[in-house]
Amino acid sequence: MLRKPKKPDAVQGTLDLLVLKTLSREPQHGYGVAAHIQQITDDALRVEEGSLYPALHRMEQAGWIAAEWRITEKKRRARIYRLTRAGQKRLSEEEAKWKRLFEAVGKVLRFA
Amino acid sequence: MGWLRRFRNTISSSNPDDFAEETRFHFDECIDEYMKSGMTYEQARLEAHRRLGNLALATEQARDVDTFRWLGDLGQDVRYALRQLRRNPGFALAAVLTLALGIGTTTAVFSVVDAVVLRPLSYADSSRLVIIDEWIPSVGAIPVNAVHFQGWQRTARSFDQIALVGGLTVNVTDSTEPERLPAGRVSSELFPLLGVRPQLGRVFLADEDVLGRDHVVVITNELWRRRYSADPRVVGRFISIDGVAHQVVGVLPASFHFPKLSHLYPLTIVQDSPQIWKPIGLRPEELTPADFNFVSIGRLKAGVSATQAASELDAVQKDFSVQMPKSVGPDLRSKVLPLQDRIVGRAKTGLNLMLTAVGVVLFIGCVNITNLLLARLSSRRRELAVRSAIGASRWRLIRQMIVESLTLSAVGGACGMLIAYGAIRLILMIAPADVPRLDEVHVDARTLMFTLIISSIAGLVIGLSPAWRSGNTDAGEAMASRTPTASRGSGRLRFVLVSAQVTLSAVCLIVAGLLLHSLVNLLNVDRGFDTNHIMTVGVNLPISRYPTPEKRVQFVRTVLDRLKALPGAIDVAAANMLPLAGEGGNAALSMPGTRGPLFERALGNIRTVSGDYFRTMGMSLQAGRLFSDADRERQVAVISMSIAKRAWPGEDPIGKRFRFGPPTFPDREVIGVINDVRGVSLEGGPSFSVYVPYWQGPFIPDTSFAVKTTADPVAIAPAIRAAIRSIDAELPLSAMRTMEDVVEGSVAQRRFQTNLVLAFGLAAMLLASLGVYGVMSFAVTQRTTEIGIRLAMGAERGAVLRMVLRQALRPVAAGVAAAVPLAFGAALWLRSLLFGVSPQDPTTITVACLALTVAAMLAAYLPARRAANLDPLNALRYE
Repeated sequence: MLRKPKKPDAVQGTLDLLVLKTLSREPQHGYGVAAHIQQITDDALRVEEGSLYPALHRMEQAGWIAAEWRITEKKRRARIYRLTRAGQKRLSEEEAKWKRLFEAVGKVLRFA
Repeated sequence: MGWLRRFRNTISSSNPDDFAEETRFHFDECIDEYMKSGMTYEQARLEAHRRLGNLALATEQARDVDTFRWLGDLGQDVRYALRQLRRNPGFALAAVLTLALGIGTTTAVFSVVDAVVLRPLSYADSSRLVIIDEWIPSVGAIPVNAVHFQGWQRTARSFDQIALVGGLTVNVTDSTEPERLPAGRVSSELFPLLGVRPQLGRVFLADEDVLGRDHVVVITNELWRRRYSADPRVVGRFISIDGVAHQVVGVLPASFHFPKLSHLYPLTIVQDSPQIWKPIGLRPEELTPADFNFVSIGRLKAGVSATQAASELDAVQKDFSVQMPKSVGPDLRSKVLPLQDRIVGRAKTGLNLMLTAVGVVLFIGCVNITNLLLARLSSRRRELAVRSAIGASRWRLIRQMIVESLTLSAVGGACGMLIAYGAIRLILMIAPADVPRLDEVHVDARTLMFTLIISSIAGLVIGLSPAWRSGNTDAGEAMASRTPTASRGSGRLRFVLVSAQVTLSAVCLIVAGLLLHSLVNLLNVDRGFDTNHIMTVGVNLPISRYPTPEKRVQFVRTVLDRLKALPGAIDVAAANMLPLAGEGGNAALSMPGTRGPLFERALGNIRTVSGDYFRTMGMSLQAGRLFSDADRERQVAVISMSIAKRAWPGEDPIGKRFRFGPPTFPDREVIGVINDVRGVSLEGGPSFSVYVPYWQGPFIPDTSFAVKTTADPVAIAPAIRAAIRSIDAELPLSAMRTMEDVVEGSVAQRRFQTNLVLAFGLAAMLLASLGVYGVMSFAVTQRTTEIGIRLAMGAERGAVLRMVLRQALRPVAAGVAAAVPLAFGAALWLRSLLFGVSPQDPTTITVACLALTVAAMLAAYLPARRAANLDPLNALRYE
């Protein structure tokens, strides 16, 4: 079965990076991921639920993260995501890529 | 392993409950947060709702992530394809019709080939079933001697079991109409060996093989239903077989099919599939060294090959050779052949040829559709370019094309299935009876599977090149050009395809031509007898009521007298076997004083006939005289030219003496030489015939009568039947046939094959011409502007016509040229089906190629004329 090689666009790539990074600290449910990103960036980045969950599921299928049902402190059943080994690898790739892009853009901003 | 993940995905996260719960959790957490910032529960809930307003959408998206998205796309592609077809109903109809006819006929022919050739025989573990022949290197395969069979049975370790089978025709009389039926004599091993259990009663016991205890019969399901209305009480009842009471002990199951005995014998005989079976009951004269009349079927032990079995039997055979008297003793060996090969061997090549031919027709039809698709593609280039520009990947466009052609072939295949159903019935109706296993042909899962596979292949064949083309669409270029013009490449491809069509149809036509030529040769062969105005009928005199030779001779004489008196009868004759009925009794001719081994003496085919036989059959006396009633006691014979040459080379045979049969038989005098006759088939050479007066012959109970008439022979048939019935009302008669029917019947299988292949050849020619027409029409349309300019500049219309025809001639000529060597190869493969014509027959090849070229050029003439008649003004305005 032939498949189009997936070329994630920049925005999606960034969301992946943020989610993976968040999950690399500790396993977390979807709400926690969104809250964490929002909190860390002082509300500068707000993750839409409509983007977050598809992204989580996509990454789960890609095998970067794994999920299981757990009971939270508030006695609610939540789907907790954690980073897998493949996800770890993916994260470092994404981080490196981001750093390169960041440096490149920085250079342009500095010298242009 | 993307598919595995996708599959897991459909199982795990496509579970809507899971996702709903996850969202509810998110929702609840939001409410908590809003309440923490001071909202009431109601406010918090509203706010959370607002924030998660796109919840439903999110659910959808999350679930759809990659899950069989391609399946959804596929649905879209199919819908798009169907829309495309609806938009071009003419094209769709033509394509579906071509495919339906092609797939339908291919499926029908396949189901016949499958049932006859491919499918294993319907017996338990049939791959281990073999047929055993006696084999003499100087003579070839001959039927089996019963003594030898018993020897094999005692010593051979290669077999689980072996069985002896013989054929006969019996008269069955009971409360209903007397009937003549093909019957089988078998040793008790046969049914267990084939793994056949009776549906009622039992099969034969071992001690019933012995003569005297053999007055039992087993009947086929077909006879049971037809004659005994499926009455289970028939088991145990006594019926009269040839006037002797036999007890019915069993009924065979409906699933039991036994081949015609003529398909089992290594010689050409005429013997149908038995409807009634009795134990072998070997008579003393059958247990003698010179009687070779049976067929032996064996089941090999697991792991033993036919060759191993044959070499074991050869050791036994050697002992028999040694034991035989020196005068007889040939180099006796054996031959072991898979049963299936023997049964279908003769029909195999012809059937494979038909399947190939019909497959070629299907392929040519597919190429036509490809050409149509390619032409349509050029007008769709802009559409494709648009799709490509707004983001459709190359693969998506290719897939679109493949899906379109597969949709076509699926619709075509579905319609084709219906056509196949009808076509199978048609084939079975017109197929000659001597094709083996035809009763096993039916539509089943295998047929459906074949249709499915052949439809998919057809879909890929028609879609592949358009898909490849569409994948190479250059969006910019396509959008830039104002008129839909095809790229050069696509035009070239279409011409190559047309060449291929022409090649294949030329090969088909050449092969069909060779077969037709063979059939004509065969019908024109010097058969040695007349067929005009002759009606024939056969009877079988039961030994019970006609026990002595005198009684039989008396019966024949009375019948001849009655028939002679019929109005409209010119000549009447009796014979044990009419021409083309086979060679029943063969015997070695022994000349006084010669002592060569039996098998090296001239083998004569003994025919017992009445004196008027030769005149009735329109045969011509070459030397000497014919016999008449005056030769009552004189032992005389009329011999055919071929045996005269074989037995007395370079001598005048008239007055020579010979003997056939045991030394106690009297010597006979040759009184006449008659022309040669094809006794078995038109293909086979003339029979080595020895004609003796019926009142002196070995008294075989089968007798046939022939009546030469002044008018239509069919008209006299009832009178003949009445005349014989008036002498013996209980005597069943065989079907009455004119000699023309007999000849026609002997070539029926060949005529059937020839007709089918010819029909396929003509269909191929028609389709190839359509292909030429389509491609040339398109080429002319494309060149409208150019031709318009030429005409405007003063080109003559004739020159334009010739220019277009020249363009068409090139692929046609190339195709025909390529066909000739291919046809050589095909004809070599089919050499066994040819008669009196060389596989490289120049006339046939020339005629076929010419016919095809003319048809193709006629097809090209229509668009060429359109081009020549173009109005230059209109043509230029078109631009």
